[in-house]
Amino acid sequence: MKDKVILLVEDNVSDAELTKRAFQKSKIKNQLVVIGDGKTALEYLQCTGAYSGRNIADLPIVVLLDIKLPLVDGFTILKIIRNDVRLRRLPVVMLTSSNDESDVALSYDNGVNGFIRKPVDTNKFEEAILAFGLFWLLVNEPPPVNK
Amino acid sequence: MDIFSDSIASPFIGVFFFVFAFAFIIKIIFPNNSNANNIVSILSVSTGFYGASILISYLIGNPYFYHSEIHPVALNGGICVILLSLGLFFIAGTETVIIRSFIGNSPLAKVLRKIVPLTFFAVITGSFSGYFFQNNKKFNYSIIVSLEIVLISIISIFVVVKFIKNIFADSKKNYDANIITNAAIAELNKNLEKQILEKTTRLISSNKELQTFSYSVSHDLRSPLRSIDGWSTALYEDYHDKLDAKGVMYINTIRKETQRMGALIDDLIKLSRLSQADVKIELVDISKIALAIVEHLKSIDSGRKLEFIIEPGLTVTGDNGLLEIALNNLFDNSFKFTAKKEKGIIEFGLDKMKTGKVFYIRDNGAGFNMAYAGKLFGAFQRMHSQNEFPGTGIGLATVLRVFNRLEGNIWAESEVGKGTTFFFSMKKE
Repeated sequence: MKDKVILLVEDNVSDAELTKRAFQKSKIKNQLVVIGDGKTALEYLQCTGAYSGRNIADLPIVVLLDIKLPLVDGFTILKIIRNDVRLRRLPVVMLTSSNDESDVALSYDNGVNGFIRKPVDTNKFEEAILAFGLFWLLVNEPPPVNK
Repeated sequence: MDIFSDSIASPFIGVFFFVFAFAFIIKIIFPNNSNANNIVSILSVSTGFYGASILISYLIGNPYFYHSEIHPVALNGGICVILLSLGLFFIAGTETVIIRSFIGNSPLAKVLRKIVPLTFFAVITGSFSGYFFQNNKKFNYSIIVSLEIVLISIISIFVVVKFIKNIFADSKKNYDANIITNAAIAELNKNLEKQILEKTTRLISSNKELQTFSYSVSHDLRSPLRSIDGWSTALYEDYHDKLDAKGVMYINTIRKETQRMGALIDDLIKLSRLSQADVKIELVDISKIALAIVEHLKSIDSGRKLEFIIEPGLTVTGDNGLLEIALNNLFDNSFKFTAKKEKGIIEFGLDKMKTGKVFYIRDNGAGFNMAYAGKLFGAFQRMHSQNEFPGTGIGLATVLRVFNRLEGNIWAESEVGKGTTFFFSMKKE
């Protein structure tokens, strides 16, 4: 489990840095892979393009997905993941500023595993990341690996 | 010719005077009755015709009308009849059947206006020719009169036919005008529909714009705020040993204000979503909502001495979600403004007024000056400073919006230092 990564798809560099910081403070040792746009995120997951050398079976523990992303938005990425037999069981959690009801509904309609709205208060955000890490790394039973 | 007879008056004149007296009496008894006026005018016209024929007879020298074998009528009698009938005509007024039959554009009036003078013409020429040819040996009197009758009849038929034609033409014109009017109305309707459609489209698009705007506010505006708070925290965590107490206080102020703006944005978004929310009217257990809110408030601050008095089993017709938002804001308000009291009391209940059910939420909190009551429900309006009682000033604006949407009423009574009571009522309760 420790060698597995957490994938963060986030286009805002400042936000990504702060999320990284929160992870570090939460003592989660797993590597946080940060990708800044939707297209590259799909290349990473499906092992195409720059990531063609990657093993597709080597899934992240969980994907933290922003909704508003350049090139391919979060909902589309989620749909592609759920329709790809190699990726469909991959846990995906939305991490976004929005708490728009329609965004939350659309996320669950497309099979998301969780929805975190980033609070403005950094302390609360760090608490959320800690709780998130504890759940996905320690509590949750991961999906079986496709062979 | 015995024009001004000095003999006794003709019995005809006596009958006429009786008729005139009758008409005057009717007019005196029923001065404003329209039927009386009609009778008077009809009597006036019929007697007038007789008087006129006597006058014409005398003018053309034909004794046919006046020189009855038994009771001849004198000229002065005829003139009397005419004058009296004119008098009747005036006292009958203008609002009579006869006058109304002559004026205006009705087909009857048009025909009468031509036929009546024609009748006069026929009578005059008939009398004149009768007189002229009566003692003429060369022409047969009866043939002349018969020819005249035929001529007058032909003229009458011609006049009537011409008028009937005109009437048809008029009604056709009216019909065409109606068609044109209908077309104009249809055109106006079409324009109106087009305008409504345009307005609706504009409204939908502006509504959509507003949604996009509020989405963008909730998503994009909060993001930089999070960064400010995040990096301020990082600054404190990584560099606090290089900062003095003042520097630390500055960072804390930045964070506090940033979070306040976050709360403001959140409240504004909630307010804007209220107008887009669907309203589902049903019977709502409002006491249940109040009790749930009280449980939540108790869990937030268990250290405070607070007493809640909630009247159980109260129901109201409204939207559950919207009422929950309103009550949440009202209870939050009371909770906040009783914070500085030794023992806060928050009460929720129902007053049965003559005007209907009035619900209230009463507290013994800070209260406010009623002079500013008009500003109470305005967005961003605050009665206390941030240091005294922090807040965004959107809560009560949200409450007002809820009751606007539910077509209810909300108002408040307050006294500084003693507390505030919010009242609300629904449209048909």
